Amino acid sequence: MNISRSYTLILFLLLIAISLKAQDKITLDGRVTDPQRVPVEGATFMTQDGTVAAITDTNGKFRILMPPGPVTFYLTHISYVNREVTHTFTSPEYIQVVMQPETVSLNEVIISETDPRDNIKQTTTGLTHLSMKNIRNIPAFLGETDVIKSITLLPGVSTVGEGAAGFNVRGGSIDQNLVMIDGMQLFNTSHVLGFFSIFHPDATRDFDLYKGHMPAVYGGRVSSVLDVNSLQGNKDKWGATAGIGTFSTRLTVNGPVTKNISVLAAGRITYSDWILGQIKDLDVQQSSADFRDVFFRIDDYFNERHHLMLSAIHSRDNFNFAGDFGYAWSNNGFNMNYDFQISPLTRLDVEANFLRYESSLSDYTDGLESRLENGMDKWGGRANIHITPASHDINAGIEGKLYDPPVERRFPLNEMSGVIPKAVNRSRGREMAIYLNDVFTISPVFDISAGIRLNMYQHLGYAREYLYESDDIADENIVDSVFYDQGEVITTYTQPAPRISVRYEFNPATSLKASYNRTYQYLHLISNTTAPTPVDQWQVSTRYIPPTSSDNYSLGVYRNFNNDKWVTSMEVFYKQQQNVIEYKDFADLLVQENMESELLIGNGKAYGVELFLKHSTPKWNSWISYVYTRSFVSVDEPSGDINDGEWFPAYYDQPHAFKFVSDLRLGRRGSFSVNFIYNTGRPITALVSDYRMGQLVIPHYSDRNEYRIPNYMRLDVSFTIGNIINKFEDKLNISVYNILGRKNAYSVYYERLVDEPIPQAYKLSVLGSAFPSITYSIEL
Amino acid sequence: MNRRLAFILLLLVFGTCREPIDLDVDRVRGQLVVYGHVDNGDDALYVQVSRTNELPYQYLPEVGATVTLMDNQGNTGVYRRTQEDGIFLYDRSSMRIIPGRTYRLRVRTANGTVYESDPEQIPLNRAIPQATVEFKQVLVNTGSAGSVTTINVMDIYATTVLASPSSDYFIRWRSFQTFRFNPTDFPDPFSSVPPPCYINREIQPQRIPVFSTAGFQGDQIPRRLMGRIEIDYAFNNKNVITVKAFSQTREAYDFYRKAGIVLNNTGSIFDIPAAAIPGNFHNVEDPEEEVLGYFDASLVEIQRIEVTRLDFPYRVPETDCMYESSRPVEQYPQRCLNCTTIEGSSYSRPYFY
Repeated sequence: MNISRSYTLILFLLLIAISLKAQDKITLDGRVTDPQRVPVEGATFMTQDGTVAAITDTNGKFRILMPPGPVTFYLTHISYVNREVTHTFTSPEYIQVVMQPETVSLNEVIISETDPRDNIKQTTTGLTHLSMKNIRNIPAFLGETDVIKSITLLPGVSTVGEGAAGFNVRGGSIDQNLVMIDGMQLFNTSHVLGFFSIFHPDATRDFDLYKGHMPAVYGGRVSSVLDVNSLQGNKDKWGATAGIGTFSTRLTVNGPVTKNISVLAAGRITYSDWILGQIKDLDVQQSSADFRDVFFRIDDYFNERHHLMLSAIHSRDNFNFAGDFGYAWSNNGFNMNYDFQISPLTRLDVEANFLRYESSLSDYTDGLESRLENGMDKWGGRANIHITPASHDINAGIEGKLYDPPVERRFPLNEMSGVIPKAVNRSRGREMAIYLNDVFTISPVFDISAGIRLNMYQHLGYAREYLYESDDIADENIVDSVFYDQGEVITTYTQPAPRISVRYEFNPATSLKASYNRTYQYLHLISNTTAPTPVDQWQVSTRYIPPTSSDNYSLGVYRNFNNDKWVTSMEVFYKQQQNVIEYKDFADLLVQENMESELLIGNGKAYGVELFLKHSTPKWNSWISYVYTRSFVSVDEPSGDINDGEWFPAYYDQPHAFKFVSDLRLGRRGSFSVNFIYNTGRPITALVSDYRMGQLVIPHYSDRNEYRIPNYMRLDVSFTIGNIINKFEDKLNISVYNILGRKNAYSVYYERLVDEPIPQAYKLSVLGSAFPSITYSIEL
Repeated sequence: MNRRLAFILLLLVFGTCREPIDLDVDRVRGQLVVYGHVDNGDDALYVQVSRTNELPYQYLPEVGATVTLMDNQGNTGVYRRTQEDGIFLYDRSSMRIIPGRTYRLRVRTANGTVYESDPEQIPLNRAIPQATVEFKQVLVNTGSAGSVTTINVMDIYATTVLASPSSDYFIRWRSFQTFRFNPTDFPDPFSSVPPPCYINREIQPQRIPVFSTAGFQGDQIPRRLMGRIEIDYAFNNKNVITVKAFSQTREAYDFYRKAGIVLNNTGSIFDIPAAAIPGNFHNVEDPEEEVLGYFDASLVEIQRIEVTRLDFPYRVPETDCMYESSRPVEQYPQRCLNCTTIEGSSYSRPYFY
């Protein structure tokens, strides 16, 4: 470990020394924003001879190195009015440039808003940046534009099926993705069991998905980062956006409160209860399934150097089946972000946030009426200093998280219930980290993003820790227990996590990138259901449930053709994971004080290749991707093994995935979009035999995940037309999701019908038909 | 309504559908299956030995096997072959089943291969059931859209007293319905009356209610639903409802808990994933051979209650076996002509009826 840290330090010093060679030019740093100070990404600075001097990053930032003297740049962007910027290079400086948005009607061209050369220029492997404009025209289920569903169209991102919460990235499980909004970590982003996400489409600006290299500023999850940024309220005038669709209605209002303060408030509510009432089935009519979400954000620019942002998010879902069962889950979060531009090259960001996630499962079965409640409170804070001296982009900071779950409890709902009340304290955990990350440009064609994150995690009381007679962790082997008081440290893990990504540009159209990341995860989603559900529990690492670690390797070649009209890439990746959590067969995970006795700790590995081709022209934008991914788990320990300790496919292992996304503009007002997705069916444990015991016929199942459900295929189309009502910016979107009506299998299960004892395999298709929808949106 | 139907109906909102599917699986064939149970009660004890088949629900009885029960004190009990292949009835006179002792089952197949169960010790802690019944009318969704019907049911509940509340209990319940069935009395020159049958059948055997006192404090397990019976012809005569509470080993409890999960999975995303249930038999000479089934030794406590049609708050359907002179014989249900065709039927009157 010491050797590793020494190497990292030497590497830093060496590369910093090399970078000093670039000091003979003068640096101009800056930021491009719109009038509302929203960063403009992808704006291009061109010199008079047509040379590209810089392209702004996701934060609107740029850096230009020039010899002393005056230079005039043309600043261009597809969605903004082009302008000239003249600057005299005498000493390093920092400037702010404002671009005026161009008035467009429908021309929210998907896919191409971001700079096509990002592929070549970004130092990081596996990074995708998309704005809401990019995804608005993509055909969506019931017409609801959705962040999470959109990223599942990207190569390397998958889901186990419609109605499943979360997403899988490059062979990782869903809990291995760090999902954040404005820096606040979220635990469950699902609405309606995963058909939609809680990110309000009109209150979201853009998002970054890190599939490969994760800069050291991010930590706590081993596979990926989805960093979502909310939209800032308009500083100049009040406005509103509304949308009414088949399933929900949404409204966003934003505008200035004072010269320096702007607000944005967004809400969305579904009327699915009304839809349920139309179904001619008594049980469905007596059921309810509804959600709502609210987002609020206020920004205060005290002056040019100080900015305070406060935001709050609320979401709630209810899912009740009359007389049988019900689920409910909610998110309530608050976020504060303060940034201070200390000097032209130095900025301090301080953020603090709190999130409460609650879920419940109600059982209305006769004699077993009960409710189970669990959740997670999370406190988070970070102080980050961002320094951009010549050739460097340095982030350093400290981050802390406290996971404080409430008591998990199950209780009867009436006096006739046979359910025994039970409550257990869930473990608490504290995660601290200091980090340093530098993106430094050694030459215009060679740059490196390197960093290190030093994690310190502590498992905290109030908790009872069980001691076991042997390494076989099971109830029957408990010999004693130790009680830890509130805040007492039970176990500590200190682990350095180095990160590095290297880019070399062979020519302006071709680059090669490679990255290595060591990542750690101290929070685990404990699930023993066919697919993740809202009531799955978050469990912090303990002595017996060690942190999951992952060594992630990526290597990619990126090549653009025909003046960046064709963007291509090929990335290969390999992940080696330790301390992957699996469950014992038939594990009972609810209200378990010694959760470790129901779990098994193993190893994981995932590997694959992603091929990507994107085409961008003003009239037609599309991408096509093919991904081959394998994801395996192996468990062989004293507490038990799975499949005799052999490697077996994870439940989200889907080797082949083919995706096609296209948006074709029809004149000035219309566009036609298509999605096509095809992937291998996920693994299942299948019934291979049955046997008789007295009057019981017992199904006999295969090894875990030995078989697969049928392959998945879906075609979606949508047509959008704008400027329906004169003088308004409005549009009408008509979508058909799964237009082929294909009955894609979600799961396969076995049922023995009354009087027919032979068990029959059934395919359950969650979306078994085509789903048309119509959504009207208007901006006021 | 079971959860499978409920979940699927709700998903109908999203166009959810289910349809049979043929998965290309390699069915495991010819695996030995042994089911055995002993307890300290008075009811018949039997062992079932069979093999799995390529076809579902087509079990091959193991012909020519011998079965022996052994305790930890060197005593041996005898199982006798019955008229039905693969079924062996315990001769209680050969060895008494005594709580606290440990028992093993040995099966020798016709080709000489010997299989043995793991030892099972009968617990000493009594769990005493107290049964009650409730009559209800419930709405049932027939599965087709908009089609709902009401049925009359009787629910059987049990509250269970723990005789040694400080001890660990692993309990499984089984409930049975026993009634007399009178076949059709056709006129004949001798005015002979056909003998009645006595039906003894397990109520919803697939329900498998189990309970562990791990983490439980109290001397009585609150009321739990044991099973539900739809009211039918069986209630024309007196019914005896038997609830048996078996105090079992942790391993037996675990086996039946898992069996309950695989039998009651709903096919929804909320299911606990199914898996093979390891049994407690092994081939003495080849431990790698997978043998299915379970042998358990339990302490049993029994309670019986009687239910007559007078107890019902609603009308019990009349028997459809009454003789009608204008009704051709072929229009009578088979059970009216030969009541031994009813599952669990016997001409022997149970001692408790």
